[in-house]
Amino acid sequence: MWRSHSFRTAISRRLVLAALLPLLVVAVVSVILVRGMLSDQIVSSNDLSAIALATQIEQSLEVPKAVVAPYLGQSYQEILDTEDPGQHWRDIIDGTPEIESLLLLDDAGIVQAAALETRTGMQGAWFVGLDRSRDRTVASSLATRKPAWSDVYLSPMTGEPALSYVVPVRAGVIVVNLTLSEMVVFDIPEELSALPVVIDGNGVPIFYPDEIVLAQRPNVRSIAIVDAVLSGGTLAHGRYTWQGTEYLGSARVVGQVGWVALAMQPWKPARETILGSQYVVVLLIILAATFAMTLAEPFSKRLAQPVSELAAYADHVARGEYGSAPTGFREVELQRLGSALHDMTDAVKRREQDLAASARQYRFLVESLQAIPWEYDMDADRFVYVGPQAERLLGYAPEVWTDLDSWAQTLHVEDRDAAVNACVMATGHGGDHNIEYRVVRPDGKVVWIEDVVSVHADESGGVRLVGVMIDITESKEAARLRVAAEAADAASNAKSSFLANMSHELRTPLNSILGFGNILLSRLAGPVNDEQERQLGMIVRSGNHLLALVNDVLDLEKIEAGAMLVEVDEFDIAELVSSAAEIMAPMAKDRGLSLDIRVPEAGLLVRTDEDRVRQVLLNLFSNAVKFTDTGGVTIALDTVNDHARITVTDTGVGILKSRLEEVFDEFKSMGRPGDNPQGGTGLGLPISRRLARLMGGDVTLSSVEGTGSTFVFTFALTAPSSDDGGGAEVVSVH
Amino acid sequence: MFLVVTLAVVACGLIPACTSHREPIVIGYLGGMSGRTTDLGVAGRDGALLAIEDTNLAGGIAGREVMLLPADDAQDATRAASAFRDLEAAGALAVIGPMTSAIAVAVAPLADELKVPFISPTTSTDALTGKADFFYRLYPDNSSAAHELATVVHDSLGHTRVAMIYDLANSSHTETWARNFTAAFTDLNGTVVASDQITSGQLDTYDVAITNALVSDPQCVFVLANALDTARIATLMRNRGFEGHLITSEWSATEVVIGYGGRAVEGMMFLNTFDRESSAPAYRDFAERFRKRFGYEAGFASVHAYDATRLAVSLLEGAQTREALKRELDGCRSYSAVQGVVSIDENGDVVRDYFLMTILDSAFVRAE
Repeated sequence: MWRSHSFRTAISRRLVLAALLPLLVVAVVSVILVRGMLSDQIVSSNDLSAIALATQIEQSLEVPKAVVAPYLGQSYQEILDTEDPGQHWRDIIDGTPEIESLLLLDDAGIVQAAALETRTGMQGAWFVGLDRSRDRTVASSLATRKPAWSDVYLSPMTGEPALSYVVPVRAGVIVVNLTLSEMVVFDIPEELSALPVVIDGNGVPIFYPDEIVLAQRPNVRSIAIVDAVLSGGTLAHGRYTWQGTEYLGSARVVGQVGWVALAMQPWKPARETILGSQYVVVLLIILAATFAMTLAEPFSKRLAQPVSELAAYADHVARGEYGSAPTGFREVELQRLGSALHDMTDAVKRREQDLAASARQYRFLVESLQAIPWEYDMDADRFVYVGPQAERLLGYAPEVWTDLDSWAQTLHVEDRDAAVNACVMATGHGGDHNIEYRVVRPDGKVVWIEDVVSVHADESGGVRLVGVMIDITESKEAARLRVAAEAADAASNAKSSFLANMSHELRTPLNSILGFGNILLSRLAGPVNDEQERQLGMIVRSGNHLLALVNDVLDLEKIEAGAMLVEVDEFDIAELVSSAAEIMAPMAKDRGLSLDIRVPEAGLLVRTDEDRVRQVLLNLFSNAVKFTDTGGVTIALDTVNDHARITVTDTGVGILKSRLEEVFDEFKSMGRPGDNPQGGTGLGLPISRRLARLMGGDVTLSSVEGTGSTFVFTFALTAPSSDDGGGAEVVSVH
Repeated sequence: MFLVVTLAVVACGLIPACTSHREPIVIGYLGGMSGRTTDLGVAGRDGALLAIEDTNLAGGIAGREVMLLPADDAQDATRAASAFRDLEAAGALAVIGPMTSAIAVAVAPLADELKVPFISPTTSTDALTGKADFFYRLYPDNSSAAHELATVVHDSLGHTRVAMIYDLANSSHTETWARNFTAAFTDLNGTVVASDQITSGQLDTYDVAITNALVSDPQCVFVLANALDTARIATLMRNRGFEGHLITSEWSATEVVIGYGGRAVEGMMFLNTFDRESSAPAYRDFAERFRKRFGYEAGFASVHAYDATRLAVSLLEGAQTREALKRELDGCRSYSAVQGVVSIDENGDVVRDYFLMTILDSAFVRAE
């Protein structure tokens, strides 16, 4: 019935309702009460009237009793003796309008004397001798010796309705005939305003204010209250319709004669009075209603205002505009509501911040993944979400993948069917699965993807695939490299094993050759001629050269193969430089060269492979001596940048600038033996450089042809530790 | 909305319901209801009233209510005419009445003039026969009643000497009666030995009449006077030692005769135009309802007024106009009465049975 409406309207309505409901109740009650009260008033007025009417009739009925009272103790004979009916009785009758005639009857019912109203024109004597014993009332009284009232009858004397009262005297009876119209002259008080009606025992009116109605002899018994009284009731009242008019009436029995005194008032004027009162009540209610409605408007406005403010505030909050809640309400409930809204806003704000932080973290987390999260609605064939990394990792904007086909199109053509099938199968089995495939970036590069896919059912029963695409290109590459490295390692190990074997296999026959050559030269095995001695010398020199060559080659290969280990010892390099120079001193002396050694007097402690350092130093020193014909060799030791530096300067032939690097090339050194008149394998410098580098340093050369060369050997004061850290003192080269 | 509904309901409760009425059909009644002798007028009115009430109980005439408008002729020609005009002016489609011949003679021309059907239940005068088109008499005329009575007196009671005493106060009725009876009785070879008039209320005329009658030594005395006078004459006759039959007419045979005549009227005989002891259900029902309604026994006036009113009502069923009613009445050859069908002969006279009644132990009974 009520449509959606504002709070204010609701308050208005309820205010009006609250005001009107009691008013309405009061109105209805008043309307009923007014009706009831007025009805009651009329009823009681009618009751009074009916009782008054009955009383008046009863008084009229007392009239004949008063008249006959003096004679009750006498016999008709005594009355005849003492009374003069012709004069006295006629006077009484003429002075008493109710009485039409008086008859004195003997015990047989024969009229002994009579007197009639003068207006009848009849003489009492005319009735003397008539036998009234057959009259029902007379007969009854004679039989019972009790007074009796007749029914209403038409008087044969006057033709008018009449009534007889028959009362026994000591002997005989007296009949008092009464003129009904004279008995029912009523004095109804004006204020009672009820119509007086007298009804005989048959329900026929014997008095009615309207002569015409009286002449019509209506059957008043049809009125329920009259019937009720005629049927034995004493007093009855009620509303009824009589001859087309509605009346309120009261009926009262007139006991002696069995009549009914009816007082009735037309209902219409009473009803109009009632209606008037009711209209006044209704009018008052309408006025009150109007007043209530007029007041309800501003009241509801005032009451609704804070609610509107709070609602507006809530709207602001809903839009994310967190102000402070309206305050200052007088009503406790509104204060509480405002305060609650305020608290709620704080909570919402806090939660929103938490949520934002959480979302931020999540986004950071998701977006920092080297993976692309995604969600796909199987039923709608639609990607619900594709992580923004798709752009970065695969070069495709997330929007590119709309449906399964658009995704499949970005796959490597060889992987496409398998990947799509895997997805479809996964959906069918409802299981999680990982698939690998290749995505072809827009720039043509191929990216390996591992897609971790799980299957979910959403709230509506639809199937969703959720997955993460992980770029596994690097690990694929690493795997490939690892395989290659492992192959290389295997080759290197085989080579090392081969070298070790070869070193043994090469040296054993060489040592035999040299041993037996030297045994022959020392003539331990017998005499040797010169020619033999010269040839044996050639075998031993060539053998030694071959042995040196084999050792160098093996060293070189060892280094190359990573089998050369740096054994870390702590020693004084200054001392080592000096002792190495000492070794070369005889040779320099032989060649007439000066040897200048400059080392710090305090010495210099280093932690590295002493043997290798010595090997390099001897190589450099020997080369300097070997390749210097005149002048001398200068050896200097110092430190630079945590490195020890040994500078070997000679005044030899020098080296062409274009060949500076070739001296370190093992193959160049080895390839041209003719270029090496000083003997040697030619592998010393390459090995020296590799050893220096092994120890965190280097061997470099600067030279001016014809003037001399300067070799600089550097190595770390502390040998670099190995990566694996397993043996702190050993550095290996891979 | 609640408010509006409630106010509407309250208002509805306050506004009286409108009822539509059609004007009732008026039927007039003219009878003597004031003056010394009102018994006929009142009894006839009560009979007519009961007929109207019965009609209305049965739904009225053609669905319309019927109203009886009684008017008092006070047994005075002038007042009767005035009352008749009033009834005509009130729209009476018919007037039931009068109950006495004198008024009938006086008012019948007016009925013709005003063209209002005037239906008399109890008048017996044949003075109007062929003179008044709108006057209808549903009671046998004097001559037939007189003839019937003469026959009963002569043949049934075996009397040949009859004395008559009649009241001049109602001479239009009584004188005709006396003449007709005398003629009829003489025809039967009987002798009306005395025929004396009284004037009601003048007691000396009674003595003269009674003396004259008794002197003629009648076997039977026929008293044609009102009930009280009849009772008085009977008493005087019996007091004078007359022991023969006393005969009276229907209109005297009321309770007054018994109440004032007592033993003197025991055995008095009269002819009734209806059977008081009829066992016809319609009559028993009528008599019972009449007694309950008015508190006294229905006499011939009531019975005939009831029948006359019922007839008028039944003839008005077709069309509710005076002219139509007249046409119906003119064509009517029989009608239904409480004691059976009453026929109307070619002269327009009702043909009725007569019932010889007597008073036995203060009650009217059939004389066997």
